[in-house]
Amino acid sequence: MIYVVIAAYLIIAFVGCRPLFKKKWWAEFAAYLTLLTIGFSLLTMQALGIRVPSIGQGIQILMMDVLHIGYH
Amino acid sequence: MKLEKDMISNSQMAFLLGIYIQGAIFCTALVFHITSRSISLISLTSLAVFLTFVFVYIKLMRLFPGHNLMGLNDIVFGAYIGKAVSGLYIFFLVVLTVANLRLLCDYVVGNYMVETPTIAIAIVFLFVVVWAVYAGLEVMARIGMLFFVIVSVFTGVIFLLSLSQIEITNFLPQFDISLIDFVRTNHIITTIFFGESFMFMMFIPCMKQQNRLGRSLLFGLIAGEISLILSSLMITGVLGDMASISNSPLNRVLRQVDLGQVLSRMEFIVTGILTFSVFMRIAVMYYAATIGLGQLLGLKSYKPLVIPIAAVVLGLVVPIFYTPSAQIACGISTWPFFSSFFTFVLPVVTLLVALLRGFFKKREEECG
Repeated sequence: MIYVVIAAYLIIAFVGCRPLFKKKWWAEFAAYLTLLTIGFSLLTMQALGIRVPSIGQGIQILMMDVLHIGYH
Repeated sequence: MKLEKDMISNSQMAFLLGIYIQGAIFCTALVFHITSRSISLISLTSLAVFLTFVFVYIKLMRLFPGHNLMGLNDIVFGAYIGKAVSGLYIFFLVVLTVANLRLLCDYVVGNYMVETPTIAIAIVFLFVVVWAVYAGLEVMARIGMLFFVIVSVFTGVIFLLSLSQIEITNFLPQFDISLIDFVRTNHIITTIFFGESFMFMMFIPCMKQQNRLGRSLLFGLIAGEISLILSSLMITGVLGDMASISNSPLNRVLRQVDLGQVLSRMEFIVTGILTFSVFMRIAVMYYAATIGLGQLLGLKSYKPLVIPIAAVVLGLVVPIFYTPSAQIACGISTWPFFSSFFTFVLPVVTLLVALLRGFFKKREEECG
C-alpha cells in the first residue's frame, strides 16, 4: 500500500508540475506541491497504520467538551 | 480577483441549488433519529427560518456586486482579517466535502459493497467529481439541470410506488414532540439541508441577471423542499416509528415496494437518486473550496489546485469519522452548531460590520 501511495504521489506531482514549470507559475507550483504533500502525507500515515487525528472527533470534542455546546 | 469566468443563467442557478438541496435527502436519517412523524411539517418551518438568512445573503451580494464571498470578506474586514475569515470558510468547505463523501461511501459500503474499502469508493467517486470541477461552473450547471429533472422524476416515481404501503396512522399524532426536540430538528434541517447552501455566494456573481437573484434562489429552495417533503412523507408513511432505527430509511421504504410481485427490489432508484444528487452536492462544495482557495492564494487559475485538494480530501475521508454511527452522533449533537457558525453567524457578522463601516451609505451614493 505504501509503495502504491508513494508511486501515485510521484506520478501526480510530476505530471501536474510540468505545465506549471513551463509557464513559470511559481505561486501555483508552491500551492500545488504543498497541498499535494499534505494530502499524500495523510494517505501515507494511514497506509503505515499511523492513527490520523479525526476531524469529526475533533469537532465533537471542541463543541461538547471545550465550548459546552451541543444537544445531549 | 474573481477566478470564475463562466457565466450561468438564472434558471441554471436555480436548478443547481435545487439539486444541491435534493442531495441532502440522504441526511434525513439524522432527523428521523429524533422524531419520525412531523418531519414534513418541521421542514416547512425550517425553510421559513432559512429564508431570513437568504435575505442576509442577498443583501450582501447586492451590497458588493461582482464580488463573491471571498472577495467581500476582503472588502468588509480588510486584507488580513478578511483572509482569515476566508480561510475559515475554506476549511469548512473542505470538511463539508469530506463529510458528504464519507456519507456516500458509507451508504455504498453498508448496503451493497460490504467488503470494499471505503477509500476505494472514495477514489472512484472523487475522480468523477474532479473531472466535473475541471470542466467549470457552466458545465456543472448544465448537468445540474439534467440531474435535477432526473432526481425529481425518480422521487415522484418512488412516491407513487410507495403510495400503496403508506398508512395514515403512521403520521399521527402530529407534533407530539417536546419543544427542545422541535427546536433541535428545526436546527438540524435548517443547517444541514438548507444552510450549507450559503456557498452559492461563491457563484452568485456569475449569474447573468442579478436583478432576478431572489426569484432564482427561492425557486431552487422550494424545488429542493418539495423533494424533501415527498421523501419525508414516504419514510414516515411506510416505516412509521421504525424509521428512527434505520440508517438509510429511503432504501428501506423501497424494499417494501412489491407491486404484483413484478415491481420489487426497487432500491436501485434510491441509489440513482443518491448518486446524481450527492455527486452534484459534492462537486459544488469542492468547486467552491477550490476557487475560494485559489482566490485566497492570489492564483491566476483554480485548476492547479483541483488535484491537490482531491489528495487532501482523500486523506481525510477515512479518518474524519471512525465509524458511520459516530458521524450520525456528531450530526445530531454538535454539527448543527459547528455549521451554524459558518452558515449563519459569519454572514450576519459580515453584514453588521458592513453596516458599521458605512458600506450601505456608500452603495446608496453610488446608485444615486
